[in-house]
Amino acid sequence: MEFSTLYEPRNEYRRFSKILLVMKLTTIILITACLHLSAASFSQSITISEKNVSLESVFKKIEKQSGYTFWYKIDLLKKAPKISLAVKDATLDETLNLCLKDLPLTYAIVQSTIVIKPKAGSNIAEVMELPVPIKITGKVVDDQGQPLMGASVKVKGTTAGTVTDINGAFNIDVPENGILLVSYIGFKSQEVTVSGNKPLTIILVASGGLNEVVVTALGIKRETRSLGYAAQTISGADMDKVNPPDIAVGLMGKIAGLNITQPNGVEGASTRIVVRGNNNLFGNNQALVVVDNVIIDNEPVQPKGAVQSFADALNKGNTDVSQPPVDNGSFLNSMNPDDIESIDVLKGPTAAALYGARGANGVILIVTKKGTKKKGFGVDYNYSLRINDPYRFIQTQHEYGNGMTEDLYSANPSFYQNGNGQNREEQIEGDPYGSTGNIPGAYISPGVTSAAGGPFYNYIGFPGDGASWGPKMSGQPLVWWDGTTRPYSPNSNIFQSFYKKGNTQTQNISVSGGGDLGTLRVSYTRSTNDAITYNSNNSTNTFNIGSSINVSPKVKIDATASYINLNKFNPPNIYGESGSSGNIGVGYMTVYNIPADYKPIERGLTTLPDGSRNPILNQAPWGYGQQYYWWNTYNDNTTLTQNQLIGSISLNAEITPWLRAVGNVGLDYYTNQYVTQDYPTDAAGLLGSYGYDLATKTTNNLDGRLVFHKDKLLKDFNASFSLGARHYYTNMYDIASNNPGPFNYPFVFNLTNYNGATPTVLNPTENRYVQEINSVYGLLNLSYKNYLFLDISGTNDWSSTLRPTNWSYFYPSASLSFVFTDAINMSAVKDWFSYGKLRISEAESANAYLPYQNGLTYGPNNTPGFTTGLNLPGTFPTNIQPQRSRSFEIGSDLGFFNDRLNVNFTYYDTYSDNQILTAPVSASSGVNSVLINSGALRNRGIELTVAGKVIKTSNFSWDITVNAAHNQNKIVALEPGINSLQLGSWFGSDGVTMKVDVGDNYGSIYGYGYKYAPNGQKIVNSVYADGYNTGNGPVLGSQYATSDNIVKLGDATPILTGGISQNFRYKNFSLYVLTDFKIGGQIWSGDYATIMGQGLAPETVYERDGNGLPYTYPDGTKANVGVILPGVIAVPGSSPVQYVQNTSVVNSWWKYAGNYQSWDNDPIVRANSIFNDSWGKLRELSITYSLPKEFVQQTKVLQTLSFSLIGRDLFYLFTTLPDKINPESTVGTGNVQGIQFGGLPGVRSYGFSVKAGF
Amino acid sequence: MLKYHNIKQWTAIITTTVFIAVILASCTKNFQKENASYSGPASATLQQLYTGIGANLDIAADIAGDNSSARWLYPITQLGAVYAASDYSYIQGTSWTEFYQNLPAMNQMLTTMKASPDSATYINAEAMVKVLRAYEAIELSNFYGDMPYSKAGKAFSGSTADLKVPYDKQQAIYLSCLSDLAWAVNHFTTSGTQFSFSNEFLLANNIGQWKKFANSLRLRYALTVYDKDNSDAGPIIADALTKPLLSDPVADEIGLSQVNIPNISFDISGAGRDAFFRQESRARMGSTLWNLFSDNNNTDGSGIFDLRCNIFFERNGDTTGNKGIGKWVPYPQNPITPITDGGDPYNNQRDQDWTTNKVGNLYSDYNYYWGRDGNISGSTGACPEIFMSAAETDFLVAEAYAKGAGVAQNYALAQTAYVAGVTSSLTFWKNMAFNSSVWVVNKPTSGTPTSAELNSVLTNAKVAWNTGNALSLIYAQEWIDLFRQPSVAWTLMRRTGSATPADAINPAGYKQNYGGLQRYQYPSDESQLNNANWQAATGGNDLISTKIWIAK
Repeated sequence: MEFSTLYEPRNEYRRFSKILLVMKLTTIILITACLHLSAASFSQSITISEKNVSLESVFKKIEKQSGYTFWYKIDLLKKAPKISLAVKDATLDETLNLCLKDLPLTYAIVQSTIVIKPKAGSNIAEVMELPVPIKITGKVVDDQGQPLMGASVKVKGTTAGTVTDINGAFNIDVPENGILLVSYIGFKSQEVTVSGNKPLTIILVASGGLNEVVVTALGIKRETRSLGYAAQTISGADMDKVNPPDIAVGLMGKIAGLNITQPNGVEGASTRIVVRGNNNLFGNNQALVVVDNVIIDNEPVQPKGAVQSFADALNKGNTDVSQPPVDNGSFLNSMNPDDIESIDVLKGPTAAALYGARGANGVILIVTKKGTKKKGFGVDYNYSLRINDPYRFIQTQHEYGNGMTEDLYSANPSFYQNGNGQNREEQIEGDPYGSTGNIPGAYISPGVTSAAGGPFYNYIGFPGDGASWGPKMSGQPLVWWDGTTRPYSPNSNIFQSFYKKGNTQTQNISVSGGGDLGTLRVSYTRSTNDAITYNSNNSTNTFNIGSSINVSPKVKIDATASYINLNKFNPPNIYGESGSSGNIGVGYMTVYNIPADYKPIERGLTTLPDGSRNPILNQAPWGYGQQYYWWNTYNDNTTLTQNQLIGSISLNAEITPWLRAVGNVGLDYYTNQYVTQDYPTDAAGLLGSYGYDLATKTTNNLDGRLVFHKDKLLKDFNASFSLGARHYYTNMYDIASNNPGPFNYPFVFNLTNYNGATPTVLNPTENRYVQEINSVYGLLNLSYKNYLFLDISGTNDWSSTLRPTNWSYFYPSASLSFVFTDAINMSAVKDWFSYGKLRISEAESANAYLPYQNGLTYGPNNTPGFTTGLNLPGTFPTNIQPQRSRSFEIGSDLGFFNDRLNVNFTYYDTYSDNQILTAPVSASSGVNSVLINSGALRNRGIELTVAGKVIKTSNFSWDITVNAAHNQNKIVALEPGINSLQLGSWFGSDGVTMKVDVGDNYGSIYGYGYKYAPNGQKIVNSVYADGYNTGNGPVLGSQYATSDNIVKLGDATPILTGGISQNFRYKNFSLYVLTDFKIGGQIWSGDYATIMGQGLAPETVYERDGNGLPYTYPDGTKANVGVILPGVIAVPGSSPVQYVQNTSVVNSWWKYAGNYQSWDNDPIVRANSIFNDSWGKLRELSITYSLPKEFVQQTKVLQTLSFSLIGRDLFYLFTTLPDKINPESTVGTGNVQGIQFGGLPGVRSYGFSVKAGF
Repeated sequence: MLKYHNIKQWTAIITTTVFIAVILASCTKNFQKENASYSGPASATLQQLYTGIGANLDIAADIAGDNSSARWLYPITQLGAVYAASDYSYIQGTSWTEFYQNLPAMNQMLTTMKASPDSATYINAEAMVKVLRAYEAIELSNFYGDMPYSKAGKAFSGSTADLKVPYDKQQAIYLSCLSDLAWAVNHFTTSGTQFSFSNEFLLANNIGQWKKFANSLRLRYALTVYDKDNSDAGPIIADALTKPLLSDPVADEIGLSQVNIPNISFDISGAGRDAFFRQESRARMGSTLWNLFSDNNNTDGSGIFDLRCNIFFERNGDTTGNKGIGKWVPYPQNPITPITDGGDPYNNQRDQDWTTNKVGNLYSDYNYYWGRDGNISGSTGACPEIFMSAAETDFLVAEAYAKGAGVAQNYALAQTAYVAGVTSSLTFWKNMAFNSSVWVVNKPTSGTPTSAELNSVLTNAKVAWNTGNALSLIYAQEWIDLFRQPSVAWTLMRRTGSATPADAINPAGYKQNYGGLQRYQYPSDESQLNNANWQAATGGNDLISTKIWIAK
């Protein structure tokens, strides 16, 4: 069959406006319907036609139609016989009279209450005389005095009841000595006996951590006790305690099983958020982010609309993590932490079953603030300042300067000389590769050598220009590349000149208030960051409106809108060898190209007075573009402007006592605009470049459901059933164009201002990404006596990214929660065992695939002269099915000592199979890859949270929370015939790769290892003038032989991750300390390999300082700089090969340069740079003083005032990486998390914050 | 009967239900439109596929031919020397990738044309595709030996069995391709009813030339295998000699040219001529070729008798050394001790300043214009990416008669063809330099060799016909003519058992450095992803030193 005929080509693109229209109409219809409903509630025109029904049911109908409430003793009606009634448009009085016509009952109307009482003189009058109700007003507040809106207030033993308003206020008719039952979700219910009619203030006490309310999938609020799966909540305030740069960082160490990494810890960089390990072999393994029911795209922002997970999934593991692109951050970087009310982390597919596909990786549910009624003006103002201080630099040696093999010829190495015969600083571009760039072996005379031994790079690859194997630094005068003579001397911190102290400031002002209609909060936040690198900063302006409106007693609308304006100026390039515009990566450059004698002189020589680039920079060393670092830093400017609008409307209508309708409309719309202006390098202003790139993305979420609910469906059983539908649609479009110059008109940055030879370079590129998922779902919640809860759900998705035969798929879930301490009489242990719950759940989820992959796409040709040609697709897509995950989870929530100590434990097992992957196949088949379903992953793990109120007195308290998680992520199966798939690499196959191998953990690190002789000793290769192991002439060097194939070097999976947070409060002072830790998990450190190979690491000077073995240089001079590589060598020419002990003394250079670093051209043992990367960190620290309220309020203006001293990332409690290499500098946020390279210095930050309420 | 208030109550229920129903009803309505790829079409016309095939041939010729493999093939074939081994590994994956991308496209084209109701009108197009398939397959096989062919490129069948392809023996590949070439030669037709490509990149639909090209390829490939399989090759040679062959030194130069492909690049993706002739290539004029161009080692060039010397190479640029500036100094093809060289003779700055970057350059370089030919904006008359030349064809004819391969030995006919070949070669290269618009310094003053120039070569003792030494002479001149096709020269070298010219000094040095290079290793995806078949073909020893079937 020809696949080309399967699908019609795309011919229009009007989807977006259509969806907007649907959204608008739907919203209008729903609101209109509900407004009608509330208007209808007060009609007095009654129509009833019933036969032989109970009086009670007739009263209910009257209640509904009239808006009046009945008031009667239940027993009174129980004795009444059944009646028949037929009225049409009758008045209330007519109807009531007909109802009670033949009964010993009468009625009285008091305001909007109809009181039913026995007729005077009837025989039950004495016993059934009803007290006349009295009107009671009151207020329900929490223990902080904050009003509780929506609390239920019922009169015990009657059907009468009401709900508190925005101020927590209620009024209700109650008989004298009646009992009010007050309940509110998340609080302990209370009974209050009424006496007299004075206003009541009812204080509800929170029901404790184990009964807290969590927001679950689709925004449904549930009490923790009813959940059959693990979900953890953190308040916005706790997340935001120490002014984190973004929400993800604010969550670090606070939630068990939530692993957040931020490569290099650069503020504004994107974060990797993984819950319970990886479920996908390739592609996106990060948790879904949902803000107020809006599914948010949290992919790293990249130019040209690139989607990282899409690229990762399709590139078959060919990502080279040595050169990741500039990190522009992701949504969570721009979301303002001050606007967050709470964050709920739903772990695993059970919790997220209702989000379907994307929820399989867990969900971060963010609820924004909607305002509360406050004293005073209701204005809050926060200010915080943090100084970001790069303080923890990689340690280097300070004894030997620049040099490579040219310094291996003599114990008294000479310097290169310039044309005037003066000694010059070495490492001018090409020095190592030039005439003396060979391994010494056939020494002729100083400065004249032959190529015998061959170029060193055939043995060790290409070193960076930071190679520091040169002469000992003792202040010798050398002519630097700029012609100035300077002493050849060490630099105490060769990296420091590239960094400075940065700062982060946040100002937030919010106005919050409430009334009968609802609540409203409006806030504005401005956050600025000046980076630790030069000429890089960003600012965010966030406007947020959140409100909760009571349209009528039965209709409520929550509406939020955020407008975020983000400006990023020159986001730091950490890794790139060279940016297409802009700069070389600062991490890469500093660790790779800066020698021990480095003098930071380029910066002062960058620009000529006429504004052009100083041509003297051409003479600067470092041929990979670093000579222009400072020019590029100040003149190649990229501005990323992001404008984002997130809006959500959530409507909740109580249509009948048993039916509720819920509708959510969410929109996430943003534009990303990159403007790149590379200032002309010439004085005439023509040699510049200019680029423009605009991405527009819209994500729509619509969700509507009907909730049928019935308390006491059967005795002790409550039930609710929801039936809903959901629509998710995302559409990204990007257009980008670049004018590479030369310009026609000087200094004019415009796409058409081009005067070059190839006008086609101006052609824009386009990128799109469209996906739609529609779902219907049903959700059944059953509870028995409020201690046994069963949830069952079923969802069917339709995804646009699969073929019609497979695009519809179903997945179910079930969970059970059992509060056994309420079910079983446990009075014997009640003193210390106050709460116990078991939960168990099983769920399935299904994940469709990425867009545009299910059909054939012929490849347009870019080859000049052949641009109308097409190539056959490189990937053959089979008819893929959705990927499936099955998750089982069991756990317990236990409370001890009246909930002073809470322990939550979870064990989970997630099996993800039917993986969709682009599997590579050999090119001789005609394609490079096939898209198939194959392979399975299993995640098993435990999570533990222990929270204790250690000390709790009125003046002093000490709370401590410990969370810890362990996850094992195994590859169960791959495509038949394939046992291994690559995730990515550092410098390709001769470098270090991360692979998934059947039976291994996800994240195994591979590279060449040692090769061993039969006796188990390492085999050493001897380097002779004519190659390895030839035995001809003297041994010039030694290098360890590499294993025949790449071998497993390590496993990046940590054994344990977690955090310990502690709160101390003494009177108005509080101290908060958060430490987090990662135990186990290995990392391959590219930084270590580099500084060892380049002779920069302190370890490398040991032999050079004379502690080595006696060694004779090629010129006959001697020094104690020799080493013997421990191991055996093959006897040249022996067959079968015989091994003897290696006894050759070689220059210690071979031990380091020869065995640590290499680019992609030489296989080299990579096992030397594997480390167990464990660390513990003082992540957050704050000391807060809250001024006493009485004192503050005397100002008449201020309501609250507090000061905090804050510190973030202050120091490591312990690390296992050597030489102060940054343990959190894994490369990028993709799936390759076991490789470290180009680490930035560790950054600590400290400052203060002020919070004031007016 | 529903009452008013009930209607209002139910409005919300119905609205929500309708909303749900609308989502359900429209839930897949736009899916196919939304998911249709925007980056390329879902089908391709014959013309689009044909142009795509041309693009891949161009990439293979440019990147594989000029760049990475040339760094090794020049010193291996001794068509040039390098003063240090290339930093680029001895690997060649581009031709492999491009061929296996072309193969399914070629097969799809053949299937489509055959299945067409008017298949008779596609005979010429079918023949063109078969010729290109045969050419590309055999040239690739000459790099690797046995390889997947008859069952390769069938992934689009959807059968997983087709994802792992067994290897064919090189002999079988040759015979299959020779049969395709014969079909093409016998079926090319000038009938007016034939479909023709509106953009035919190779020969602009010149059917006569196509026939000559196909037939000349038969001669090349049949002679290549003649010593291994003369029973199959002999009749093919005999038949080919009776049919049209490439003959015009200029018009019959078959390759990817600016004439037929406006906007063709000779430096795709920064690789190609310009990339090769840079410092990294360390390329210099070797003593082997110099010895065939000059009667002596006079550095003033007084011994040069062959005009091609000035076209292929240029003088050195040393100002300080003892060799003198502007001298002809060949780099020893196989130096006994390594010698480095300096200067930056291939720096683009030489467009503006001819001499500065030559300073320090001790040995004669490849002519600077080889890196610039076709790569300077607006340049015309560039040397094509050559597939086959008239001169090579002449030498093949000469070889057949000199050897008596497939035909009776006939030295007279061999000599005629030999002289024609030398003449053709001299004519082509002089014309090429004359026509290239980038050529400025030392540009020939006319496009055709004078009779003095022709005689200077044809009468020189190193070139003049000599029956007793006929094959050596033929191979040497063919080898020189293959100057811009080092891979074809390599095949000639291997099939003749290194009967092509070689420097007599330090053969051991040559053997150590290049003697072991007989073929390329298969790309790593074969051992990783097609392991069973790869094992069957290599026995697990995929060695570069293994002689392929055609090698002597």
